[in-house]
Amino acid sequence: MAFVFMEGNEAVAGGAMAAGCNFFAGYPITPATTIFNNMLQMLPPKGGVCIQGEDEIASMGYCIGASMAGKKVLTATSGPGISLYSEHISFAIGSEIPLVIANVQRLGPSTGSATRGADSDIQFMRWGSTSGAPVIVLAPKDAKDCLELTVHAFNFAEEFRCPVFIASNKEIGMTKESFDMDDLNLPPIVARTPYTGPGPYVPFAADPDKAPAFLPIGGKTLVRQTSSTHGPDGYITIDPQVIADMQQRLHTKLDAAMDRITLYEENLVPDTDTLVISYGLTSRAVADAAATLAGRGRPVSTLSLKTLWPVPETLLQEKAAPFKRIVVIEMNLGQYVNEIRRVLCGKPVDFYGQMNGILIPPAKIMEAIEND
Amino acid sequence: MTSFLNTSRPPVFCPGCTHERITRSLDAALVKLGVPDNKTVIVTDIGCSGLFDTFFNVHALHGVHGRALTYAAGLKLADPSLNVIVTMGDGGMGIGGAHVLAACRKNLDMTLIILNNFNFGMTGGQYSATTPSDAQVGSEFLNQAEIPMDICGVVESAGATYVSRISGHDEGLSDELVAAMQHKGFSVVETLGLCTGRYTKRNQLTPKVIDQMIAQRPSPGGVIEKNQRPEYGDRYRQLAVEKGKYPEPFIVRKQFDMPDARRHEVVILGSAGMRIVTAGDMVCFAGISGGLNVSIKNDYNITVLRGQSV
Repeated sequence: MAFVFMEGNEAVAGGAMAAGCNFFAGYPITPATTIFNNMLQMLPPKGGVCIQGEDEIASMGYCIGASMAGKKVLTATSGPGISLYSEHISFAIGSEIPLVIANVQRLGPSTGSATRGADSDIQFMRWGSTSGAPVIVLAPKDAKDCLELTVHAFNFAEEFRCPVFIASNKEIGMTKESFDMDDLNLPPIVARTPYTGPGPYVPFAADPDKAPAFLPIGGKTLVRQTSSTHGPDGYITIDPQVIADMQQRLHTKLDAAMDRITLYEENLVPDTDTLVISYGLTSRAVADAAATLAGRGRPVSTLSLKTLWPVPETLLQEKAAPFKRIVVIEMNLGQYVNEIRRVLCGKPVDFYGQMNGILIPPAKIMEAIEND
Repeated sequence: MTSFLNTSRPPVFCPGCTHERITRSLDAALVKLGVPDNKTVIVTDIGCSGLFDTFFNVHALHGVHGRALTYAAGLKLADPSLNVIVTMGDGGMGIGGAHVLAACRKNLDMTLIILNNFNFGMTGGQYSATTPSDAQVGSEFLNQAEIPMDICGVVESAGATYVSRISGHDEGLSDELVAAMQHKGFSVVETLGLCTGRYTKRNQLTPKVIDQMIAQRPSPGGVIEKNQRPEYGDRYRQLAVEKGKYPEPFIVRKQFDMPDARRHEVVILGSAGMRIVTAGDMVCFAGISGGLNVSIKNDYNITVLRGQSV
């Protein structure tokens, strides 16, 4: 046993280093700043680069440049910063630039409350970009999860060449917890696929369900990158078929790999009729509530999603199928429940949400479960 | 190499547009410099200057409006061996002003060419940050209520180590670009030119008038002596090496059995600055030593050394 005691933000930084991150750019913002502080301690001794951008837009721009030079990049912010990241999130989606974005969520809207937690941005992370093309969003529930999921986030960003969010929360990011490093379950490290073909490099040529092979700007082979609508050759195109194929591939490359992207925990109890679905920090209060209810002889099953986007539709349908009733708990007034209702259409889905700057107490969750 | 121009993508500017001359001057400058194509990247902004990357056989990155310098900085920090050239217009300079100032203050070894043609050509000739107050532009009267900004004056005061202003029609343009690219540090070349599609249709601007403008407000002349200092990347790497060693996580091992290993809650209260968090850490480390799982939740308000704040 090797216990460490760290906040979720330090664990994100530790996960980034474990994943081989070698570039960070960010702008200070509560409650995400300590990711930046930690990266500033960790990257320079390893030969990495960590810089403070003049603003959030610039920070993302630095990350985009460094990623296109082949670096594994991380940035970290909170809701108001995600607002400013938006134009570059769109760039990274459409131009297939690997990025990991830690969003330590705080209570919105707008500047909201810098020191109060909420899962404010669950829909915003998915839809806060132009075109509707998808991103990956992973939600940790505690510090250990922050470390593990950050490694997954880098792997996904490298493989699928898209932005991957860590949907943390002030209450995870700035809460210190002990966990056993010997218990860590880290996936093997994935690097983006380099182009090794015999012919000339066509920077966006790819199978319909894959991201293109990568070569860095600054390498022997000339590379074209553009934020404009482009064909496989990286030049602007107006060819409807080429545009349609590129747009579709941005979706298909993730859809085709959903079984691997889907991460979750479950506690399915035999002979229960209620499944409580949650994610992030809230799933820990749900686990407490479920344990108490089991002690009272009224057990429920629980499903805690770690992959929020793309929505793990198959998983939700399979897991929900045996249950009469679904209860969704969220630290907002109802964002992800809309996805669950969409996927489980017709099934009764009850919801409890809270957005008042404090954690949802297990008692409130029990009330929601029992309030049949 | 006799030319870096991409023969399959010839320039597509309006007839008479100064951008085409600047394209050819930049090509001539790259040939004179003899830089390797695969160690050179052109990063372009939005608008007509944003077309430049497609005209050259070098690495290319074209991004969103005003942010070209941020990608360029990321590339240069990631690969210091790159020759990084950024093209943007007066529009990109205006919208990306914060990045221009930051680049001047940092002094990364990159060259920024600002193709100032006094208006937004591509969107219909609206006024930009450099449009004269008495010009006739596509924004009705709005430019009359503002004054244009002096690009060279601003970047010089922001700390650029090389600053020059030159007509896009000047025969010496390619030599000027060579000098700017050879400069070790952040160099800014403001080119003045004609937007024949928009601006010169309603304004008497000719190469001769541009020469008069430069005569009235001469170029700072290149190297700005008072701003000379180490290049940012070199300085960054020097400081980073001195930064010390990697902070390995502090491992705590169980050293004894807690006599009462149930859930304990401890509240520690105090004012900011009283080392409340440190006290909490000590309690938690003791708990881990006793084989407990611990967590510390801080009511962490942002005001420093005083009371509550949200």
